[in-house]
Amino acid sequence: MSASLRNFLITRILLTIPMVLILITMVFIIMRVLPGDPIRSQLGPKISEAQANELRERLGLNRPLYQQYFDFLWKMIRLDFGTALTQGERPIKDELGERLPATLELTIPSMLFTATFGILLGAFAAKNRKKPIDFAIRLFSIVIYSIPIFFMGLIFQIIFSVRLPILPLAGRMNTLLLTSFKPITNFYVIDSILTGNWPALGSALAHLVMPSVTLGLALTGVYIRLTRINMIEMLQSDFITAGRARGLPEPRLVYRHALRNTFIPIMTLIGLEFAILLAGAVLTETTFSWPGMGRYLVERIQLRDYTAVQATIGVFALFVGLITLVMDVLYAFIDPRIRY
Amino acid sequence: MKSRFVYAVFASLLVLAFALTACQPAQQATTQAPQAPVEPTATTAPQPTATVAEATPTEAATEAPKPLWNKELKQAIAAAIDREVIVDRVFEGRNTPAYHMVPADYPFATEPFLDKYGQRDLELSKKLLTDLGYTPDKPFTFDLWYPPEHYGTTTADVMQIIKEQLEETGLMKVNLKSQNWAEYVDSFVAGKLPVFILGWFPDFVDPETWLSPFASCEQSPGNGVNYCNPEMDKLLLEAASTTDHDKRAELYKQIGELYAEEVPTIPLFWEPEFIINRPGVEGIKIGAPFEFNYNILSFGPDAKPASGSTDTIIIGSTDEVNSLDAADAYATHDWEIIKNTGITLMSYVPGTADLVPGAAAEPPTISEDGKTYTFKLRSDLKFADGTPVTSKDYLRAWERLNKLDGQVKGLITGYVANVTAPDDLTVVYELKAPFAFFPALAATAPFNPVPPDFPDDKIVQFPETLNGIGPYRMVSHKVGEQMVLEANPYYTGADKPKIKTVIIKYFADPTTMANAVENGTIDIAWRTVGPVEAVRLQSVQGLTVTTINAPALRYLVFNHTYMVGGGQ
Repeated sequence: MSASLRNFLITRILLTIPMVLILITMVFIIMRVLPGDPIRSQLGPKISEAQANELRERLGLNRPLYQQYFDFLWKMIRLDFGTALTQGERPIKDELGERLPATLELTIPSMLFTATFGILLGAFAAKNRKKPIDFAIRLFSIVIYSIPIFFMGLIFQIIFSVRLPILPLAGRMNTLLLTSFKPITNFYVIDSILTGNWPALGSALAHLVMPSVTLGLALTGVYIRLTRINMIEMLQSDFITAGRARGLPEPRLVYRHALRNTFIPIMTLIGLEFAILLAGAVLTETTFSWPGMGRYLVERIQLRDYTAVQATIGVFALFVGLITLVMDVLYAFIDPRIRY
Repeated sequence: MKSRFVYAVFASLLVLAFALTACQPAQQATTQAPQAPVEPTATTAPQPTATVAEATPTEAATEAPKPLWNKELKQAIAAAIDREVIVDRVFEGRNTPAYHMVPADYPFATEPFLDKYGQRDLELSKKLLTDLGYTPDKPFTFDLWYPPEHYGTTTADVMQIIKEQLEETGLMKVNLKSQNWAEYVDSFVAGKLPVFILGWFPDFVDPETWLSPFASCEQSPGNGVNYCNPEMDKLLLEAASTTDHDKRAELYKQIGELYAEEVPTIPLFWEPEFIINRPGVEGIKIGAPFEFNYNILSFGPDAKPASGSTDTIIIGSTDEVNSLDAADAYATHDWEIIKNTGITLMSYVPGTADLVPGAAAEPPTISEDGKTYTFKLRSDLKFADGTPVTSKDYLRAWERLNKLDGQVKGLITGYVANVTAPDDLTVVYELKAPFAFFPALAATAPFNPVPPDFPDDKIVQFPETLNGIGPYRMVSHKVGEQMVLEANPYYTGADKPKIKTVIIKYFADPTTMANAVENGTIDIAWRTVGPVEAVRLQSVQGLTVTTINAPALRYLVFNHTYMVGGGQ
């Protein structure tokens, strides 16, 4: 590691601190500016104001705002997220411990699918520019991009699970297998490998197919178009012409030299989309009853669960910081011209 | 470098601005009473300059503020609403018009609104409004509020039809307004909304839980009604404290008549629920108490269980577990689990509203003054871990309820003053007043003995196992995925479980759950299958769709302390 890269990394990591701080402060404030509170959102008028106050007292919501804020900050620093205010007041650490792995388990295969499929199709379209296959791919990318994701999910469910029952409908694992399944990391695929539970592994993988393909397909359109346009530009550049003149085989030129050079914008997109998907896969999670972060965050915002929302967004901020950092480092590996 | 500095300053200003906006409402709240929303001034109608009751009139006010709602106005609205049309147009006839706050299959139910106003009495409505001095040029104008998302997407359509029906009189002008649920609840509890729609789900099976919360001086403010009438209070108290069946029936009839006359709220319609089962699933009985007993379910000879075995049944649900501690739980699904893993002191014969002793050996003995209920416990009761049940476990339930400030506390402490256990099998409940409906209250989830492994000083919302005294015990629960119940080997109550294992599978979306019952992933789809899914599944061969008369009411609330100044 060069000294400049080290400096770059240290600066970036240090910059993450104010970023997270500003973000969680804003979330803290916005959640409290929003009308409504966790007690009433959950129980409505069912309880009297006196009882509501007793509950607020128990949950520490009656303390002055600055006290709550500094208490929250101090706990965050020690990575103590506290307990949620609604839905059973469980420790947020436990809730995230269940939800985050579920989300990652769904997101990572989706991203792999969409990146591979989207980039290859995009490159292929660029290579065959203005030929019928190019138009077909472009049409596909627009159609797939415009279908609402839950609709696509429902159609898949009806085709592959109700009419031709070949794939499981929803959830993360077969009901009966899950009754005896003991999760360790809450990544069900990893856990079933760790415990050598092969039927569970098969079930976990089968349950992943539909949601990850749905989510992946929905994102593919963007990758196809982005890759295609960058490739077209790249294929007209001088170094490709030079390569052609030297007699390099065309597939090698296209899929190795040109494609590699279009990776910078694509990597940026992958990083951004991955960050978005952490909380943005709400519709896929809902359609496939996938107990992930997206649904969690939406539900908790509706319930005004201050602590859960604050902690979740804090964790997201760290994640996004991490991902962008990794992407920045990867740029240097992909493009030797980039130096830090 | 310079631009970075500018950005930094900008960012800090932004944060500061947010901080200031955050603090402002809090400061205001302490110094002044909440202000009613400002009404649009576009209409030429007599615009009430609305202020809230709590805001004491200032010296400067020329005229003393008076409540917006008088009896005639409320009657005019009640008479102009046609529930049948709402039910037909929005719900294609699936819902049931509500002519009283009490469900038709409850004890002492009547239909006073039908008796007084018929299906609709537009002429009466016009006459009342004309007598009050409203004309087509000067109609009575008000804001009608609703939450667009909380009661499903149909609410907006319902409100639109109500608006049309009221405006058909030619003497009313309705401005529809909406707020999201969290904000809405805050607004109506603070008394900021003049008239608004709400839903109600009962706590126990008695007219009391449908009337006092809206019409008694003590409870009505909590539900935003702010209604107080000594005559109504007297009748409600008398009806609640009378044990004589016929006398109670007569009193509830009188209350119904007074209710339709005074119109504290307007009942609109009952929203049904649907339960869908695959071929061969038997024993689904859900009656007025809206209880689903898993122990009487069974598989018939032609059944193809989703699990592949007749020992296991899988029930789908879109509900979420909030708390499984009876000292805290206050949601329908939580109570369903607690009741299937427990036996309440009194309980219902499945599928009926017949109240029978549950964990009690016989009906309670009631003291002369009607304030002390003595229950003799059955001697053969055991928790699912084998520990025998004694009256101490009920005493502990009462102590935990009081100490832990759980969500359900108020429901019980509102009626019960103290609990004692004179001997191992006797529990005595002393009530705050002679409440004749107490046996029905004793059939709610909090009247379960506390499982031995629950600590005294902490609510256990998500126990790892739940060892109650009921037909089933909970053996595992993966939040948001599934819960497994197994037959309790120590269960001594009626109807031993026919199916050994019950798995509740949680879905995020009713459509997915409907697909799951269609393709055989689950045996039963229960709360909540939407009407759209229910109608679709009716045409699927083999599936049985049953409509359940759920006690879920939608009603309009008049805020009786909402003020007008200088209006009509």
